[in-house]
Amino acid sequence: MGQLIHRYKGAVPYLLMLPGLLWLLLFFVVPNIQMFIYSLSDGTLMTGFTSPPEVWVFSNFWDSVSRFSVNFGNSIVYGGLATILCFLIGYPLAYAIAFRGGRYKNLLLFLVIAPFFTSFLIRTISWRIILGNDGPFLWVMRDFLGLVPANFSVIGTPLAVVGGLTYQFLPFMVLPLYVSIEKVDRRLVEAAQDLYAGPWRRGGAITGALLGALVAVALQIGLGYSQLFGENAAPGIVAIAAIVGGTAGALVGASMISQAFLRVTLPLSLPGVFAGSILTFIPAIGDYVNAHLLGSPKTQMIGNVIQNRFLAQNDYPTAAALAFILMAAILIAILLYARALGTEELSGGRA
Amino acid sequence: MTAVDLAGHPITRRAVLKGGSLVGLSAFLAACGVGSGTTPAPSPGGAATPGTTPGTTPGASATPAPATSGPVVGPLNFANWPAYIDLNDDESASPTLDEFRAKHGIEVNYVEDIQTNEDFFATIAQPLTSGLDTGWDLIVLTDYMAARLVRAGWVEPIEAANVPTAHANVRDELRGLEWDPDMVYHFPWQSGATGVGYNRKSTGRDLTSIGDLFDTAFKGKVTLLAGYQDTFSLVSLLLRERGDISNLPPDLTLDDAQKIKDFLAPYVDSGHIRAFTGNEYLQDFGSGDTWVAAVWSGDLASSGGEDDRFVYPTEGSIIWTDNMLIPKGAAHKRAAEAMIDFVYDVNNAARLAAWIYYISPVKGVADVIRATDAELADNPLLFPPADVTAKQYAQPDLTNEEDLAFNELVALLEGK
Amino acid sequence: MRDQREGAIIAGLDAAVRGARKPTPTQRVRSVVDRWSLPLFSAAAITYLMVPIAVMIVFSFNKPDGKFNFVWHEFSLDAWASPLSRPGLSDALWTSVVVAAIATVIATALGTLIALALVRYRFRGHGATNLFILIPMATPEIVLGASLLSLFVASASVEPFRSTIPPGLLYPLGFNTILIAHVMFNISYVVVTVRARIQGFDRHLEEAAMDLGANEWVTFWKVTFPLIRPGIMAAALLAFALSIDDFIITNFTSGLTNTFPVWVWGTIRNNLPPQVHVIGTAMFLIAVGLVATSTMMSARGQKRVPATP
Repeated sequence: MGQLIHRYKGAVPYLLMLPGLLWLLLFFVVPNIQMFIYSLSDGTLMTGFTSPPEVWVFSNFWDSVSRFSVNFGNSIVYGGLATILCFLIGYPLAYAIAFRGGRYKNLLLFLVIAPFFTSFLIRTISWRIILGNDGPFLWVMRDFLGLVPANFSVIGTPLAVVGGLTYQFLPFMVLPLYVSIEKVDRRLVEAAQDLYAGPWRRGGAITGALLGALVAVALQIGLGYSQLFGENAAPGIVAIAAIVGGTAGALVGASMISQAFLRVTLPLSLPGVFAGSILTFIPAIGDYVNAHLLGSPKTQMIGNVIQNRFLAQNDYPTAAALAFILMAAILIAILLYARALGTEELSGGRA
Repeated sequence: MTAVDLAGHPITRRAVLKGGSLVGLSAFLAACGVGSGTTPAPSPGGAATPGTTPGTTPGASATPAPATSGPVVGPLNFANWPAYIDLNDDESASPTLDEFRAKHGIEVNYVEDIQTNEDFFATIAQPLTSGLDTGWDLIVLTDYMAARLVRAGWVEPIEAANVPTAHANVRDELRGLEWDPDMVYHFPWQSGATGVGYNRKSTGRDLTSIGDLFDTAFKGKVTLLAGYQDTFSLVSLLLRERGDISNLPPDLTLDDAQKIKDFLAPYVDSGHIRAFTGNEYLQDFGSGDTWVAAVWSGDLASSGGEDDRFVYPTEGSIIWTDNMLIPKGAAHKRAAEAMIDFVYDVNNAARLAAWIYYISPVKGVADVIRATDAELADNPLLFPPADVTAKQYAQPDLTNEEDLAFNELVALLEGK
Repeated sequence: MRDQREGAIIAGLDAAVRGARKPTPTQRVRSVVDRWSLPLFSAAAITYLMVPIAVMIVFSFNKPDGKFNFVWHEFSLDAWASPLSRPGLSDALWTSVVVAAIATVIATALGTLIALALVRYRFRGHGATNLFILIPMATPEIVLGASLLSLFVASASVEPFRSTIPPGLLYPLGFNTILIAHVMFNISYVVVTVRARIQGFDRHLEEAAMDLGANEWVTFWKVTFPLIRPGIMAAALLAFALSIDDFIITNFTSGLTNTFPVWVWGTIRNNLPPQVHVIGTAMFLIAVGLVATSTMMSARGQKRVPATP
């Protein structure tokens, strides 16, 4: 037995991997090839599909990009905003847990991942309850504080979609951030504090406030509330968002962002930033549940189109082309992002 | 139900004697409460053969139908629309389905899987084009979609001998349709109207017209129905009133559709119209996020809240019929036929209509309902008054090319 | 450069201020900010994460007015008394549990083998395999679901699948196809989780066992497996959690069969009974219990494992 193993030792790793890789080959690679074939096919369901090699309908790709550019735009804007929001909420949270969590560290981490223990759909349904016309959020804002008009809606607006996305994927951001911040050697931080002579409060506060205000502006534009003085404006909400964002940013920035932070902690936590933003952005950009349950026809993302074309309209060529573009775009984005952040540990498996 | 009712419809008895399937007949008689003494002795297995099917259509006659006669074998896989079956008090079960189960001793998988004709068609089209079983034995689709399936030859013929009650009891105005004149492929499930639904508490006033959908006071709280069949038809009535369109809904042209799309687009862009839905508008009424919507007539009465109302708009409304079909290759065709026959029993039909608030296709339902609940017999949802029916129009009947073109406009509006 | 200078100036001011005996108002503000801003912010973020869970739990005790459990009406234990009394709900739940259990076993086995190969052996194609394992995780779920649907549908109508795949295996969609999909998306997660846990462990222990005459098989079961078991457990737990909650991929591959999330997606179009919230709450409590138990177990397990230098 032992001899047998020794003789074919070179084959052992391949044998170990064979069943799993075969599964991935059959049910990941082959399906994608089939989908690629559909994306170059022609025809409708009633007539049947004509596929390569008989036809090569490359125009499916150009047509679907131009036809659904709005949906691609929505996906990028909402997915991007959700990722940025996740980062701005998640980083201080992860930082606080790692550096100041003390004996509550495990409890806090547990609370961060607690949403995973409920159903994804039920969490989204909860947001419908919270943001709904007769829900607690509008009860406070509209009936109690009187900040918004009587027919003000949150459901059906981009705000609800981005809010939902941010919520769903926040834990994906916090966990990798926490792991990488936790690894930072305290002695390095202390050394840096000595070197750069202590905190950097004013700068931190200004940076924080700027970031907070920037997010508020980004939200206004991205969510369609930008017409601050227009007839459909909701200045109350916008002003509150700006003030809250700026103040929170300033306060958090003042106590977190220091010279030592910028020169030691942040650079060392970049792998976490990288992992966290990828883990947030990818599911967010491909999601269709939040846009379906919390959005409107104007907020449909590319996932909604793919889902609708595949599962409702049987328009396989268009749907397959869209899915391919989405996948390719994401892979390219990851590569560029990895290069920009200089993280070579992408494939190192430190999830 | 008593023998008196049966006597009122002599044709019923004749159909029974002609058919002579053991199960169908005894089932029918049992349902009607007729004593077993009158039962003729049919041969086991029934007399029905594919040859007795009246009027065959080219598309569907090619393959022999599986199990046309013999015992009713389950489970019956029954796909229907939401809010389309009666429920008991705690809404945990359906008396109609329970009785059917008890009667035939088979399981019924009743699934509320049909939200829109198009979505459901998409799920069954792939197996049908590949010549495979769809998994369903009985499905319910609206006229235009039912016609499309029948024309494509994707529907099993319904054995006349197995559905004597249905043949006898179907209302006369529902017979003789161009796409299936002799009820070979379909039987109506219910008819209904598309009109305006609203929550009285949220709107603060009673609504009367299609125009009320576009009242700026309801911005962001309005939903319309997905697809062109309902929404475009309804809006065409509004634009017709305004003189922008001259055709009635059944005759809408692509030009008209373009006008309707141009009319709706700004309301979508401004966020006035929050969504295009199937039955999900019930969800939005439930959460208060929809105040006003294009809806189907019976839903809000059967499944809505206390303040949810339905109105036949002054401009007119859209009338349609949803039809039971047995998709090609259905594994339990005989069970599907038993169900069709079962719901055409006038008592069963009355119980169903009284719960779901739609228009029953069964003769004599009005009488049965009036006998127990006079108020319900005057309900305009179940029995639309003459001034309403005078202004009811069918949905557009389009060629495949027109259908594609209309759908392109719809996709532009719905954002996907 | 400017940052540095500014920092130095502020630091200088700080030092000057610190030199003074009494804490100035500015200082007091600073210390308050230092002490409270981060914890308060974290508390707000945690609250944000908790609110929907709280809403779910609260609304499981609601008796909705109408068919949708969207608006608070009145307290009731009805839904808890009959948590499965919705047609199709218990079937869907059962399917979810069975699929998750089987998918977890298969995916954990296949993934652990890959992880072992990747950590323990150097071989041609090592880097490529590493990368390949990551690609399914970097692919949006909707693409995974859509491509699987493409294959399953094509398996019934397109060559070469039509003649090579036994009919009924991949089409019509149902239990089989859900299971296949769940194993597929879980494998990568298992590989990554197990690999992370076994990367650092001490190979000298294995070598010692071998030196003492144990063959590879015995060494694996007596030494290696006990050491990596916490990693495998963690991976299995993750796989089960991912599987039981998956909606997007399952929606593409489920056909007529309902899992719990697919059932919820279907039912919410025409009613949302509080039973949905009851099941959600129950699953939450079970998951919390399981994680707490496994955390304690693995903490104990880790204590027994000698630390690597």
